Amino acid sequence: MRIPALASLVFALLLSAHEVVAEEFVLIVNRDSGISNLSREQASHLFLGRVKMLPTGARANVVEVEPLRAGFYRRLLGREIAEINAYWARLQFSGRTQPPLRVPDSAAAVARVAEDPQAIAFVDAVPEDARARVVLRLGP
Amino acid sequence: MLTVIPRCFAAIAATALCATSAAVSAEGAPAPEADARWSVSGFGTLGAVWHDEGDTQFRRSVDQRRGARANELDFSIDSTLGLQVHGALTPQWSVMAQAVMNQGRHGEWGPHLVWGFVKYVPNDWLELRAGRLVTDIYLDGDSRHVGYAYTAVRPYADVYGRLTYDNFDGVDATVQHAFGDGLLRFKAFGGRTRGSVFLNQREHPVPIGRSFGATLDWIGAELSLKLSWGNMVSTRSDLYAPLRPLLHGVAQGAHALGDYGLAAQASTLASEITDSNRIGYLGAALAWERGPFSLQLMGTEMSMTVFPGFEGWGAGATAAYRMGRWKPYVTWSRSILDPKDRQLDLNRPIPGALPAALAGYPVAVDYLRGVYPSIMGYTRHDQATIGAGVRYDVADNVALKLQVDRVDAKRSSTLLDDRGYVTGPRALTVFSATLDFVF
Repeated sequence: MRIPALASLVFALLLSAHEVVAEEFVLIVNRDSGISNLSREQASHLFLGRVKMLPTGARANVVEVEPLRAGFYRRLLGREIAEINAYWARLQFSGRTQPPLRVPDSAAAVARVAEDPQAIAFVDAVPEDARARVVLRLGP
Repeated sequence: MLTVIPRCFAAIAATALCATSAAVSAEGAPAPEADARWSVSGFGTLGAVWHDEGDTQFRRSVDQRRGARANELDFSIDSTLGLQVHGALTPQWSVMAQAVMNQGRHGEWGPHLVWGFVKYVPNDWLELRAGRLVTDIYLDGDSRHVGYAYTAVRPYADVYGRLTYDNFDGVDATVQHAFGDGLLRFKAFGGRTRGSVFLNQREHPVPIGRSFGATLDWIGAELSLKLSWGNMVSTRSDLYAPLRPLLHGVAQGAHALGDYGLAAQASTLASEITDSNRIGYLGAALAWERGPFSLQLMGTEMSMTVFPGFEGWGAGATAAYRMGRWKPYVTWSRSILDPKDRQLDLNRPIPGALPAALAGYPVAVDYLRGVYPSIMGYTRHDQATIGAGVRYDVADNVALKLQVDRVDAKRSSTLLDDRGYVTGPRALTVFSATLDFVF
């Protein structure tokens, strides 16, 4: 590989590292959960497995949307997804707690929250399903 | 290999079954079928190490029988495979078992049970675990085996390389509470020690040992602080018990010859050989993360009164900068351990003509003159490492790391010479590459 080609590859990889995330994320819970809003700090503790209960005292069932993980954690915590994955490996393999449930898309997350009063998830738009309630918005 | 894998699964299955029945009986009724959720996961490292320093074996910890030799690409130092079974029996009760395969203390690759416990979490502020546990001394997740969880290739070998008795069978209790804008967490643990003391190439199992200690963590959004304190106490020590009658003989002979100083020294040492029984550490650590920057600092005081014993300290630091999938980093660590200062003045002249009853005295003194400095030297350690590397996260669960370390040892108990003995002064550059993964 010629040096200019190698440099281009490295540059492209570095650029991909600094991709811009423009979408808004919203945290949703079931409308019967008894929660009307969450602080950013509470959301961080829940999604990092530091606390396992919702503010109401019910056990939290945390749901992640697989394709949105990188953007969500960058927005919530300012950390790259690789750091989050390493963090969860620490927790998982030292028996502290298990990683959140992952679903393939926002629709699946909304469906899960609509059926489970203890579920909390992030999605990329305010859901139309009235059984889901927005408790935190993370704008661009 | 064919025999160790079933053993590995058997260990996990036995622990899981044990844990399940404990949980069920404690609840008084079987867990609801719908609530039980089982998962199997694992982690591993394929690691290669190379250096060109002759007559030197590089090891990451003293429980490794052999290290990477000069000009040989070694895959046994960092390579690991771990398998974990987790069962969420009810919202409060869960069980977990984890077996790890890596280079064992006898050079074998058999699996050993690292974790195997029942956990009860009644609320956010209390967590109780019972079973096979790990002492909480590592900043990156209670374990030295999960390479994917670390920034660098391995935990600081200078510091953690001597702490090989980190397993115990017992209980731990964690309480946590909101404090400031973070969480304050206190954990106390105790149980029967699982592990051995390693001196030179010899393993000395701790026959009846107890581990106990505590940690205090404060976990904030960007800053985490940790204090840890731990002890391993053995009720008896057989490490150098054969020296005891020899020392008693020297004490009696010296007393008969009027050398009351040496008599007292030898007598004291004879009792310490079998009575001294504590290995302890007291450590502090700091982790700071802001955006792409991360910094870790740790320091610990370590001591071992088990003969020949040591006292000293270790410290380490890692700074890193995350750029998407890339994470370049630099590390530094140092540890200085010295044998516990015990007087035994064997250099005094021995009278030429001795009564028949003391005929064995010069022989005993001569023997001790030969072996005592060697034994004391086993625990001497003054080693520093400075390194640089890069972690590249190939995928969501795979990381490639390339690292170069400059190890400078004035004396070392983790490095070995080619015959397998601890080394004197050495300086070497170690190149490492690892592929860490979780599944």
